[in-house]
Amino acid sequence: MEITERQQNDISIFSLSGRLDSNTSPDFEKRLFDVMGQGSRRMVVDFGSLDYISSAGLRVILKATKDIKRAEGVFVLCAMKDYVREVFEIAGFDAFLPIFTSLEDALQQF
Amino acid sequence: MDAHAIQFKLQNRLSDLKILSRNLQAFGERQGLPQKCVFEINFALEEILTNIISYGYCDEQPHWIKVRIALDGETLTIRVKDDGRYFNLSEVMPPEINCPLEDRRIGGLGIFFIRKFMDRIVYERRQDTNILTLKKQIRR
Repeated sequence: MEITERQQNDISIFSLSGRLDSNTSPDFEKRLFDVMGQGSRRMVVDFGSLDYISSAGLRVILKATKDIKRAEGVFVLCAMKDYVREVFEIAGFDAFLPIFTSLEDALQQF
Repeated sequence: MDAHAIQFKLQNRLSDLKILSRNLQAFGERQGLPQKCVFEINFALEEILTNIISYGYCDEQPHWIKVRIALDGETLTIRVKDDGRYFNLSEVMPPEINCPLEDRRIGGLGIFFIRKFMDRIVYERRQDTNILTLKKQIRR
């Protein structure tokens, strides 16, 4: 999996490509929490090029959502493939985690 | 070997899950399976194999887990065999998914997905071997 990270104003944007599974989730978790550790409270994860997510990937997203909410920050996801989005819906994560169809839409929420 | 079937084995280490995705991808392409279907099988099997690898063994020895996937018409039959400890998926309680964020736990969610993505799950224990048979109807 490839993770690219950039800043736009005070928003951290992570773009994932490839597979977020039990082998790659620890790396993504570290990157997310490093950025939070540096004080970032506004984050977007762009799933546009992500082909696969496992429950290990969901676990990282759930953990980040809880931590950012606790810090009164904003955490949103965007641009998921239909079958990836379905996993979030089946898990019920869409009830507390905003998922936008495009990065552009997601950035308008800040 | 049957042209509509694939068989492979993994060792009990998480890095071997790549063997699963590689084989499944190739099988899906060869059989013209919808991408969503390949995704769901991968998700469910990764859960099953991760459980076996993480909790199935009491020793530090290498073990082999065998997987066979066969397509008959529009029905997929998946069989997973391992020599780990007794583990019957059907005995695990489903998670609570309608509670607020603060109370959400990810544990157990994997099994919830396996049930969601597979149409039938049959567990057998035969001579120190777990045999899990899953059926999935392909919807094109």
